[in-house]
Amino acid sequence: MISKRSVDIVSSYVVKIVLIITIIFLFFPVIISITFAFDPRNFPTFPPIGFTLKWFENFFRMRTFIEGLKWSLIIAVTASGISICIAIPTSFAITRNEFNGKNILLAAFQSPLIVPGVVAGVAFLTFFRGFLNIYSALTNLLIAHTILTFPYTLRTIGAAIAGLDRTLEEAAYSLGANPLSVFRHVILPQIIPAMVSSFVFALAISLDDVAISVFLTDPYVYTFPVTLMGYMKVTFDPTIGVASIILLVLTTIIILIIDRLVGIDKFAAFGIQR
Amino acid sequence: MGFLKVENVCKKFGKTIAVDNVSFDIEKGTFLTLLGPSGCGKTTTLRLIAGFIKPDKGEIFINNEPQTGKPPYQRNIGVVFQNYALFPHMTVEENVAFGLKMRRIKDDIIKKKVSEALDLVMLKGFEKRYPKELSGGQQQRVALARALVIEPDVLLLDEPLSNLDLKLRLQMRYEIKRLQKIAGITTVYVTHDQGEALAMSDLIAVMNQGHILQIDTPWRIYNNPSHEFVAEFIGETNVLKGIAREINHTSTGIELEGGIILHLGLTNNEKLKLYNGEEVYLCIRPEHLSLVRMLPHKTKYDEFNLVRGKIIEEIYVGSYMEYLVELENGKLVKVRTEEVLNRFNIGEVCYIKFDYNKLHIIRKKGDINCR
Amino acid sequence: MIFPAIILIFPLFLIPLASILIISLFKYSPLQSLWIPEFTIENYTNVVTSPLFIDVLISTIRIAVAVMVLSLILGYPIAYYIARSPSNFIKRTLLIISVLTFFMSWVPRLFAWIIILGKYGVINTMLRLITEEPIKLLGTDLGIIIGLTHAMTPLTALILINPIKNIDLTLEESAKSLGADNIQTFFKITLPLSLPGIISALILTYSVAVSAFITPMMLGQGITLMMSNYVYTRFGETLNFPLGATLAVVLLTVALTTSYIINLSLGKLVKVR
Repeated sequence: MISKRSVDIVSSYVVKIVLIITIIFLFFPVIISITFAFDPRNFPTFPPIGFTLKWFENFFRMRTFIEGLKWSLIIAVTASGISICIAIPTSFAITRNEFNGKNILLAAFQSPLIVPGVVAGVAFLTFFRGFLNIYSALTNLLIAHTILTFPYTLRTIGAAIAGLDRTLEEAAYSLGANPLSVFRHVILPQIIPAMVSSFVFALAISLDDVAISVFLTDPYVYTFPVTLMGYMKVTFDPTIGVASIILLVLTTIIILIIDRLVGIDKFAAFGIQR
Repeated sequence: MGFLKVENVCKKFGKTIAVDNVSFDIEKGTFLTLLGPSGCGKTTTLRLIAGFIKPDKGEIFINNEPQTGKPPYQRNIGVVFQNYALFPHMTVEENVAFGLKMRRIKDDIIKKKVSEALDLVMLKGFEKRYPKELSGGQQQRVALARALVIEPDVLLLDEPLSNLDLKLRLQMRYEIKRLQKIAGITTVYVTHDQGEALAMSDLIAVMNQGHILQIDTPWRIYNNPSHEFVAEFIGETNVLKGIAREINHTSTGIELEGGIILHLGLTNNEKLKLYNGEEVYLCIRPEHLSLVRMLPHKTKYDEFNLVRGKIIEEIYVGSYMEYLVELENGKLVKVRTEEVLNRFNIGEVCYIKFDYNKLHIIRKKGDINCR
Repeated sequence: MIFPAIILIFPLFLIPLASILIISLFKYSPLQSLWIPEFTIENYTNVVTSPLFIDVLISTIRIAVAVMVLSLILGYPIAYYIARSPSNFIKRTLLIISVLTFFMSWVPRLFAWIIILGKYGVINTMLRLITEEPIKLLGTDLGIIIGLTHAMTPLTALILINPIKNIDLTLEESAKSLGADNIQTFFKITLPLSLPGIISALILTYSVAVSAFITPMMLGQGITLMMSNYVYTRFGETLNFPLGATLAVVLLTVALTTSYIINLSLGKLVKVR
């Protein structure tokens, strides 16, 4: 008969070991991949042998990477901005009104989350190029990325707007502010943290997308992840490592901004789907 | 027409009637309190005057101008909310200046007025602070300054003191009243605390279930309630049901439940003669009753104004005693006496002596009294 | 107020989805336009009867289920410690690690795993000290499972934090005071009470995994495919729009149907308890 006490001790250790292994599993690959970008070998491994910056040179020399990064940023910033601008009035309409079919609309707004990326990509390509004859990759990508980020911006901004103190607005009205002034002076200042954090969150989503974007790029307008995907399939070398570092730094900055504005624990509180 | 007139205003929410045909008309500078329990319609009435909600029927006039259709920002009102509603992202100064800014007043005038307002509420020096740095009482005063600085036609306060601790609440009562008197602004104040209402108001409107039951000065509300609800809600009163009886041509009395007859002699003759045979409510405050043990001999008169009962409970309050006495018909009466030495024991039989001059009779139907 | 969103989603997203449904029923012409507006179901019969397709379908579901289960096993302890640890340091560190790995772009993630799992990669370099045979991890199901689990575990952990936090600690304490050891307390109290959270985590992980694109593409090296890769490759090869549309519709249907089935069966599991 094994005593309960020893069962407790053993199970406690087992769980702790699983935890530590998981943390190493999660964290280590990323850490050592940073070292790969400085390793002179074409196919590096751990531990690193030398130190070189040639891959960085290589990266910045490649026009496609720089172009891709440029387009990605343009698309990400614009799409996220539009997404937020649409999310704000939508959130007001949803939180302050009741109407028939509200649930159906909400489900529709969340639908981009459940559609696999390639399905959306094929759908956009077929409809925009095939039916609407829009050949501009930039336009197509902008529309696609706005739709892609919308469920996320709607959720975050919706939560902020739902949490507004209505008496503040009433106070402003009683003091002589018309609806526009109330929005400008009372509502907007309160939702700015949520706006900024959902903006950078949407940036992260947009900068990461490849499944949809790969269908909509053309030889002139392409995104950073799509370029990297192409490169990785054909050539695989630590130049990718440089891109990795750039993206890791961007991600960390984004998380820091969100933490400062809203607090990471609050942000993590709702189920976010990638 | 007075300065603020509310005329036959009704408001329904779904099936619930929140405000049922409420009317009053008050002069400029009056401090009117809407007093009543939760759900009586006082806050809804206030919000109707402010314009946050629209009445289903009726009209509201401020300074002879009808307000229907005007949103709050087109009415010249100042509102103080229960949670103060100070803008958290603005300093004290910016909060107080807000209403003036909306009225497009010049910056230098704004600065002057804000300074004066903060002075008035004794918060000079707090201009650059943020609301979260202030205590409840200080936030309260900023909210007041913000509402007063725009010199509104009507000042509306929605239970502004509920979130403060007792000591602060008592202090702020005088503050608010003082400021109101200085500014001379017509004020409507909502509260469920009768102490506040009695201490601060020029007029009190006691409300229940959407109606105003009585609107009168604090003195009259307390001493001459015209409705049994008012009598019970304000202060502590003993309310006994009975039927008015004319004993003979000169004498009147009330027959309480269970057949106990209270002879009232020549006093209250007229009113009781009028109500003869009707059901009435007899209201008398505990401090206007006294207890006696049976005297060895009694005059005929003495016998009449005494009612027998049994002591159920005694409460020692320090400066006075309170007894709960059970009458022969099972009803309970509270008696307050300053006689703390010669105490009665629980279970002891005693006689309650009524001071007829302080007795108050209300018809059962209640007189719904609107000025 | 709600108009812009309606314009965004309905004509620009839902209609395109409807359009591929229609196109999937059209004929294909390699010569002229993108498709010929004549109705046929040959695209569907082609796809469904292709043995490669069936293989890929089964692989996909298999991998997605494996990822779903593994992420739960690895993610639960993390969520538990974030929710329950008395040490703020541990809470914060675990949370940061989870959030960082979750938000991380696929580029650094897959770059790292390709190198680690490769024939001359980190794992095999270390293994070389022991054996001669390198392990093949890239291009196999296992490789993809490892990569996807790495991505999904932080998601699972983040989803489970709140459900675990909401379990009243005193319930666990009373179980212990009544004589249950840690394992019993966990299986009889904690686990059942966190079940709704577990189910949402499982369903979410599954739907993301089943739609995976870039991870299986990079880690599968073209040898092992998941459905999204199959759609991309076949469509990219031929630019056969009707076929591409068909594949997309099938993928969408499979993804939604299997997610729904898992949802139902997990729900039944809860009822049985």
